Amino acid sequence: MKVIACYSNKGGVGKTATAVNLAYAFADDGLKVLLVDLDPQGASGFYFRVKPSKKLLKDAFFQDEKRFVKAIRGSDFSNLDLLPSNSSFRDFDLFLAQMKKSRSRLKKTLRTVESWYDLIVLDCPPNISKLSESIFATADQIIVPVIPTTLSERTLDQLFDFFQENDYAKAKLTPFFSMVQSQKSLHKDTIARLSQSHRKRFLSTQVPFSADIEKMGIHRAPVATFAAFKPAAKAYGSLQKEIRKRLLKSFKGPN
Amino acid sequence: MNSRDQLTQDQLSRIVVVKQVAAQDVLDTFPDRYQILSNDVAKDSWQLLDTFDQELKNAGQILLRRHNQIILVQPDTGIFLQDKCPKRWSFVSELKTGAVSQYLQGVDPLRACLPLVDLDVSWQHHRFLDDQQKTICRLDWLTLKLKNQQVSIIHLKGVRGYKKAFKSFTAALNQHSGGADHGFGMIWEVLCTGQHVAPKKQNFLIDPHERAAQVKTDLIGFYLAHARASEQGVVADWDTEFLHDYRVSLRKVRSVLSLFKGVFSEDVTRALKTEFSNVMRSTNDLRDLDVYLLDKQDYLALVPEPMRPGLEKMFTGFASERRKQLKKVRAQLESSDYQQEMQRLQQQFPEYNGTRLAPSIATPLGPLAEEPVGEYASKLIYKRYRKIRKMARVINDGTSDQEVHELRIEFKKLRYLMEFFATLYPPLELKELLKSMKSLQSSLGRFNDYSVQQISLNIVVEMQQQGKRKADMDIVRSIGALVAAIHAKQLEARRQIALSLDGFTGDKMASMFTRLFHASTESKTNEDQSSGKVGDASGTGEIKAAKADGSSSNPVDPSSKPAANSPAAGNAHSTAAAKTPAPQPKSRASAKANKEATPSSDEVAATSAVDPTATEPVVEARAGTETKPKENTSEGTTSNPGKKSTSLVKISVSAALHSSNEDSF
Repeated sequence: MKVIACYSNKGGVGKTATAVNLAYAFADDGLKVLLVDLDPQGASGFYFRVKPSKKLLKDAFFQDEKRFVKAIRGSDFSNLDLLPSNSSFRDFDLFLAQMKKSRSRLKKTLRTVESWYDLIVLDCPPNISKLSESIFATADQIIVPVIPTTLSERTLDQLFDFFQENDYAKAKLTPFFSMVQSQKSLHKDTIARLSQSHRKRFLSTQVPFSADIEKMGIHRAPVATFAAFKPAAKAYGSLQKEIRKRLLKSFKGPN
Repeated sequence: MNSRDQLTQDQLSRIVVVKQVAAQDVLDTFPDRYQILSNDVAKDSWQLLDTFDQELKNAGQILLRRHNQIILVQPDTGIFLQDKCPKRWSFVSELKTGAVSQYLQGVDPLRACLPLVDLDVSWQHHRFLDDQQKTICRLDWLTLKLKNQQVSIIHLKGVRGYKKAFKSFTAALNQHSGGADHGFGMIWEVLCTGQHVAPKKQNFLIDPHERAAQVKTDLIGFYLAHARASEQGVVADWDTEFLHDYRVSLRKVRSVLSLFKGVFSEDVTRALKTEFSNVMRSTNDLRDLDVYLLDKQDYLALVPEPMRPGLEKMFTGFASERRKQLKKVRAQLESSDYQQEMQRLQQQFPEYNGTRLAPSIATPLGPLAEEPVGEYASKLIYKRYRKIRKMARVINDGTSDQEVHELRIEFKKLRYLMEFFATLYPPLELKELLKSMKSLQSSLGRFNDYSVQQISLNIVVEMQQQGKRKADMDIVRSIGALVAAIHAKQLEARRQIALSLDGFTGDKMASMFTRLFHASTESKTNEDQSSGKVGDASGTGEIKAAKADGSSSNPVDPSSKPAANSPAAGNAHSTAAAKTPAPQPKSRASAKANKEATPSSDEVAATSAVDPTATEPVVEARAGTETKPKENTSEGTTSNPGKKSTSLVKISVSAALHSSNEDSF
């Protein structure tokens, strides 16, 4: 079982859209996938029409295997299940702070369902916290959507610094350009500069800024299910292939 | 662990079969807070398929075909659709891997899936949505209709995390199916009433006290009926297994005739054997070609790439020859002569399957006709085993292939006997014994396959070189490479035989044979003579003695002597002795003699029988080539004028290959 996290320390970069569409693409590719929504806002669950998990309250996510498993919902698509969040997830940092070995806590929880899934996709809240540190320790790859703007460039640098300072494996960080508007010269220039400074680290696929991705909120489904032949859906498809390749190559298993 | 179990899908799946129930009636009773979305997956007329052996029915599967789609229904996993199948297909191997074909791996790759009946199919898929428009349960409803009969398979599939909804649906569904499902067997009952298929295995019990003559008649009747049941498939050429089964059944008839010595009168036994071998012989060439063509890919794989086009040419020739042979076999099976002959034989040996009809033609009996079959069988089997063990002891790396072949034939006879009489013995012990004979059996079989293949291929070469037209050097070269490869395999098989023989001649095997086929008669005798001796103890004594000498003149073995001196055994010996050197008037006399002395295609039935009518050149050539391929082939060709070139190909092809391959039924 592999774990990938869709993470950014900046909000509004297309994290949830990435998690939802990647999870769908991997499931469509034949892997058994569980999408775990760690964001208390519950956007992933919304996209799959799944209501918030009522019974996975307080620290049950980390402490109660039975409840964790019970909270899993089958999506409308084969091979793809979902663990919806609820508002109590915003207290995860608190719970983790009280637990011993908090860094490995998330991994331990996910191991409960190890035999059922080939891949777990984590949709993460946008901050650097106890929970994020758990995520950094657990994930095999951390997919970071980056809007090609100056501000995003800065937060990406901060993330790399944080990994450096805290001894996390920087090789896990897998950024890609998200919400790209190729007609904007700022986007073009930023892409050129970042590609240069983070050689080989960026995935080559760029996901465009797209009305179709925004329409996911209306359809409440992954973009490939209602706009399969549009650029956005194709981009997520090729993103998935690139990530699959890296997963097979760089990581032999959860470290 | 508990938490993981909750994830298992089978808790969220329920399949029921109902008769004459309308889908809407059921859907109406489902909780109405859910919205239902329905769509048609399939409708119209579909063909219900099964193999001749009813493999699908026996596996509880229902397979349907329409155009390039197939539907499979399984009791445990539900209903599957696979499309993009070839428009015409007969064999499971012709289907690409897919939703359906992955579940058909158990179907014999050589058996065609035959259409049984056309069914009106309606398959609807329903989804149940909650207030978020999220699917929380699914339902497949497949209805099969034949005239006014209808049966529905309903598969309710829950969604993980929505167990409550699934439970309420299940409860609603149970009301309609009355809680108890009709099994899948009911589907077949409703859809295919009165469909008759001959049983595959000899599965009736033999009463050990029954007269040997009666059991012999029963077995012939059983296998004869079995052979006849395959005729239709041979004529229609549905698949090659029909002819194979036909021949196996006839070979069993011949084996029963020749192995049950002393039960029928000698004259009638000989006449019947001749009759059956004549019937069978006309199918030899077709079977040979089938075997060649079925193994085509294996043959191609045996030679290096540059040699393959030559072999391809050879196979193209075989394929066209097969069409001719099929016509010939069809004509034979459909001829009124054949039909009358078979009807007469069936009057003499009525179909037997546990229940008995009195034959309207009586069979003259021999001296052992009245023996109780239980004792008779044990004697036959034990004697055969002792004989083989004796033969096996002298076999080593230096023994001639000829001796190995003789051993193989005896071994095959032993196996046949054990199969015929299987139900007389404790099934588990017999199974274990047969299992431990398996390795020797398969290495002997392979050894023979390879030697026969080499011979027959060499004949193809000879044909090429001596035919009227210029030899096709591509073919000749390729065959050369192929023969070399096969020869290497034969040597390997020969080594394997030596290894397996140790096991067969060993003490463990001896004690198993004694326990099953000898101890009973012995302990009975002992009981009669002195009640102090126990069967077991004498059994052990017997093994020791057997080890020490291995011949049948064993003083501790009271039953082997009378058996050896019985009229049947005596007959067998004298017949065989008289036969082998029998002078033949025709120029191919040596070939004929060889046939009798060596493992020929029809060895079990033929070895102890002189076949006075077996004068057809094809057979003689075949038989002869088994020991002296070169001489006989050249002789064959010179004595056959050039205009018979087609029959030369025929001879080459029929060169005994089939015999070996049919070892593996």
